[in-house]
Amino acid sequence: MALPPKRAGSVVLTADSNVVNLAKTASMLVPFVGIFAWIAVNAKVALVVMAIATLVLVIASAESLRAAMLWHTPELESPSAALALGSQFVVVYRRRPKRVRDVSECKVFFRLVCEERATYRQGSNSTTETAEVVVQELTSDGFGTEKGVEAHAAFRIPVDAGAPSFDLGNNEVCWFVQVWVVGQGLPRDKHKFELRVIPELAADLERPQDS
Amino acid sequence: MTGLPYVELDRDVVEVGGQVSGRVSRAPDGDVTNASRARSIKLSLRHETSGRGDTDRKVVGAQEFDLDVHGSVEAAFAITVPSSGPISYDGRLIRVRWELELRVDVKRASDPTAIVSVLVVPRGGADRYDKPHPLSPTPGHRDLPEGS
Repeated sequence: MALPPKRAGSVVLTADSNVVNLAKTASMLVPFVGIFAWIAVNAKVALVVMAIATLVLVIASAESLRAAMLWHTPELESPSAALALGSQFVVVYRRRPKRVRDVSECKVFFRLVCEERATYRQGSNSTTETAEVVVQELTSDGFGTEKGVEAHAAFRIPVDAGAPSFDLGNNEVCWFVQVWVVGQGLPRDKHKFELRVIPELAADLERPQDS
Repeated sequence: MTGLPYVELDRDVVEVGGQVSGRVSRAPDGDVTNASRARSIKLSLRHETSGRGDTDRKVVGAQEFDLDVHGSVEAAFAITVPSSGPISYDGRLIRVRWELELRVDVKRASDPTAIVSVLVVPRGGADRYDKPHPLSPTPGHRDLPEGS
């Protein structure tokens, strides 16, 4: 399949890397490891518990670690950094291996999501609730290129569902595309690519009929 | 006795980047033999959230008007809505409302206030929208069960 060239004016979005995600997870565990270490001085049982916890962490993150070692962080090409309501657009997912690798056919799963995020405080605790208010799911055939794996997906931002992106501090509406790949020898980790939807109707949108 | 302020909008649906416009008015005080105790009158355009999250509110524009000696005013106004929004929204966790508040500062008395709702819609959508987003589910829209 011929590769479409990168379109003029398009932007390339990069997902959080696996290493960064792992570092975030690990940083959350630091206090617990410290407590266990302190307890371990007095109790052998704590050592066993810590070993089990470490094993669980390694197993849970094995796929992300493997992907980070073998593959670069994926990219998503979007036609614009700011998408209008009602706009139709095609995103291109690309992921390059760190070494030359034969990529067989695969399935690439896309989810376009509009998510509300509401944060509230009770005492010193801060809690953020989220709700996915628009979800569009697509499955695309991925294919191998000289640069790795690639797949395309077409979406349309709805004109009357969800809301354009905004962040008011405690209340936020954000849009993102979530992507994961299923195929032999391919990493099975998921990535999110944030999009910005602006409060503007697409220029080519059909106007409502006068009654 | 003090007169109540009044706000009249040219249109109650405004696009982001557009202007909320209309007229403000206040009748003279009942006692016109003395100078009015009303000192000033101010119109503010603000948005405010409600719902699950803590409240976010912001005044995005304001205009002050001169009162005559009897505390009356009759004037036109125009305040610009930021092009970045947010639009009026009535979502699952978040609601965003836009309001105009006209407040009279009265010496040694409570300040009479008039509040009028404004519907802020996306640019190009003044003829399309007559209530806040979301209007209706669209193809591809799927409500997920809570906690998913």
